[in-house]
Amino acid sequence: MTYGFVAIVIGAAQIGLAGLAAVLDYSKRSRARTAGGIIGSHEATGSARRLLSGELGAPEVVAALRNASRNDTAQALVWLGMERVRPTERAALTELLQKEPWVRQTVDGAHSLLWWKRLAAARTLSFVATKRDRSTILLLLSDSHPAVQSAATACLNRYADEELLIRVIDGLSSASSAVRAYQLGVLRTYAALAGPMLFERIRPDAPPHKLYAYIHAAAELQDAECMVRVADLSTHPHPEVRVAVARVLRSKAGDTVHVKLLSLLRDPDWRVRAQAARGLSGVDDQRTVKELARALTDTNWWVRFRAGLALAAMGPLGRAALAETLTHSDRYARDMAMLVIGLSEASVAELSGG
Amino acid sequence: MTIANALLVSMTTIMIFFLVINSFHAILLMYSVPELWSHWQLADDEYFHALVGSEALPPISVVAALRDAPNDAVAFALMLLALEYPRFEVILVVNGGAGTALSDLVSALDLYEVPAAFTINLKTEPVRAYYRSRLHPRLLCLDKPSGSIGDALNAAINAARYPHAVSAAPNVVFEPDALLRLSRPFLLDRSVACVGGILRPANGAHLEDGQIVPGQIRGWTVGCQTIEYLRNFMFQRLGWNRIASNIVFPGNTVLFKREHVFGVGGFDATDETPGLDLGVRLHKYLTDIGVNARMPVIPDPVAWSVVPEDLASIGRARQRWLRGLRRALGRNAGMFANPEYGTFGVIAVPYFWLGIIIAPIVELLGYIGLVVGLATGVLGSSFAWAYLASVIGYGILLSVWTVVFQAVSFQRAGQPGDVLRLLAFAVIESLGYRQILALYRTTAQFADR
Repeated sequence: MTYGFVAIVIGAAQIGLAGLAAVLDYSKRSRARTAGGIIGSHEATGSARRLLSGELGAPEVVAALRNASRNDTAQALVWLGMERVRPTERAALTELLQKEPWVRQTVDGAHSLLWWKRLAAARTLSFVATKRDRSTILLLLSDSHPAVQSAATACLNRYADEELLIRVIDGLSSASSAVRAYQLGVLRTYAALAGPMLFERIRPDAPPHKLYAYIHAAAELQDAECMVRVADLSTHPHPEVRVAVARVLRSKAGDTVHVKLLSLLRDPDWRVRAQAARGLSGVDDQRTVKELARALTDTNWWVRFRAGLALAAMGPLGRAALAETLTHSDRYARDMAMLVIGLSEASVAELSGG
Repeated sequence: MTIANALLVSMTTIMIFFLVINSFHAILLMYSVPELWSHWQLADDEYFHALVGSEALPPISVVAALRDAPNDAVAFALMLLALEYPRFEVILVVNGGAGTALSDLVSALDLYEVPAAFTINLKTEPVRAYYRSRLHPRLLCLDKPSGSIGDALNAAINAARYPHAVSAAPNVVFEPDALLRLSRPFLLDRSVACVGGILRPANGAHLEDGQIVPGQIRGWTVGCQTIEYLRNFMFQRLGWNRIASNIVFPGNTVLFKREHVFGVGGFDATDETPGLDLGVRLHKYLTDIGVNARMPVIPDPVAWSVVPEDLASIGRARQRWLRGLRRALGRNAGMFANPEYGTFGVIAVPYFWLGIIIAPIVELLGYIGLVVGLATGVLGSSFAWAYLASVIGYGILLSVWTVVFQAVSFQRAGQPGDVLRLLAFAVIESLGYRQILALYRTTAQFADR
């Protein structure tokens, strides 16, 4: 009995660990069930997969979903949504699901303190959302967990209005890179609606961190009016904004853009100059070549590197400028020209892309 | 106080010490469960899969130093170049003494020399030449006649052009999607500074459909190391994620930001465990500059490595690691129990001192004390049983639960026979193997190299 506390401590730990092992086991089986039973790792077994192939009707799939755990069901619905189930079948399935009490219970999880319940709610809504769910979607779009935000953004594929799109646009600057990439993809599908909203927000007096996100969104949406405003920001006082402008302008063609990039090549911030140099590789006129050759004498290595690659990618005109730089009085320009001339064409393409 | 009383008090203290340390290990094991559960919730996320191949994924430089002439430098380079990731490059440093590695690479991958025009952010021993490949534009090779592994990695980081880097030791085989897995935490959380991947012993494993499948473990030393890896480097480190004070070692299978490495002055070229040293310095540096950064470890095995099979090699590796840890913590002694460094300072650093550096000495002293106490009649059999239960029995049970957790968590846990074999090793590991390593670790305390 003297050392009973040793047995108590060790025993308590074993009970705790045994309980958690049971939780892990349940979780593994549940995941396997989702993969094999609902989504179906094999075509013949998955009820959701069989819906896609027309072997099962919506009522049978709903019955299978009813018997699964809420998390598994939510994942199966996401999968069905991503696999682009046919509109008629999707409508039939949605109609049936909206009548199911467990679906509403899952959606009510949007208010839970537990993130995985909010995730299940967002995932479920991404398949069944209607206008009456807009306040829930708004709430989930502002969630602190990135996975919930992504799933909530997917709800916009089901139902979207101005307020929801504004929430997405305004949240772009604070979203993680994965969420932002997903949100930009969704915004692109609503380019006609989102473009004017973005246009309103791309103003020089907007906070720089927001402006940075808006500029990338404008490039993603390929909105011509927004891009004109973006080009006008090339003299913005904040360097991060100018970096973003130089980065997105490189994918745009046109004389105005070309002139802006040439002026950005003389920007006081080296990051802006480097991005501008990258953007100029597609324009092989004498003035651009001259400016890029001058950039080979820049004080910053990255600017010289980008200018060298841009000249190499340009073709004979650029290559000639590089060869000329080999006799330049600036040692660093000579070194960079030698480095770039020594690269194979594949290496130039690889390095220019990264 | 008589000698007998002193012995009894000391032995009771040691028993309580191990009861506390093992209970802390049990807590870490328990914490790994919610961590695994969260990971699964996100790993199956279809929206994340939609991003694979997109610009959202950060471009990565894979850096590696070939110092000890790996069997096949070309195969190693090709393995890295074949990783599944949209934008990455491979920087390979052929360090002094790497045999025919450079000539092999030149002829097999059609390398050509390029001028040395790179930014030098970290001071290193001179680089003799830089090579690019006509067959693989993503590859850059550095020929460096001398210097340590840390120095070679610094040279590779200087030559890298992407903001994120992954270090690869030459004896590892990466999973094809290792970079995708490692980059996931960066995509989801802005406060992530580094991500550690799990390294698993590859002895007995084989390739199946491009994936490494663990095979039957042959040899008790490999079996015991597998248990060690599972317990210490996988489940316990997942538990550390929850305490938010994980330590990752950027020397191997760790994705980190180059700017942070520049911030701390790079790897210590004089250190025999440069990754470990850098891991501790990164914690200090980020806290000192006011960055509240996380360094999570992901549960997926991202790389496999053949572990040594003889005890002397294992012992030397553990000695090196322990000396490295002691040096790294000693150089940053101000972090010890310092709340300014958060849970890392208050929980992790004291644990590393007590549970890793001091524990082997205490353990060996405890065995001597137990024998002396029993021989002189100072300690009774009930004490001896309680003592052995706290020090050895508790450890065995934790190792057994580690195997159980692995078996019920992962699809690639192996056949029931493999699990039973691992359970046997979980018992064997605490009955002999651990004590031999405790001896190696203790001797490491009294030698610098």
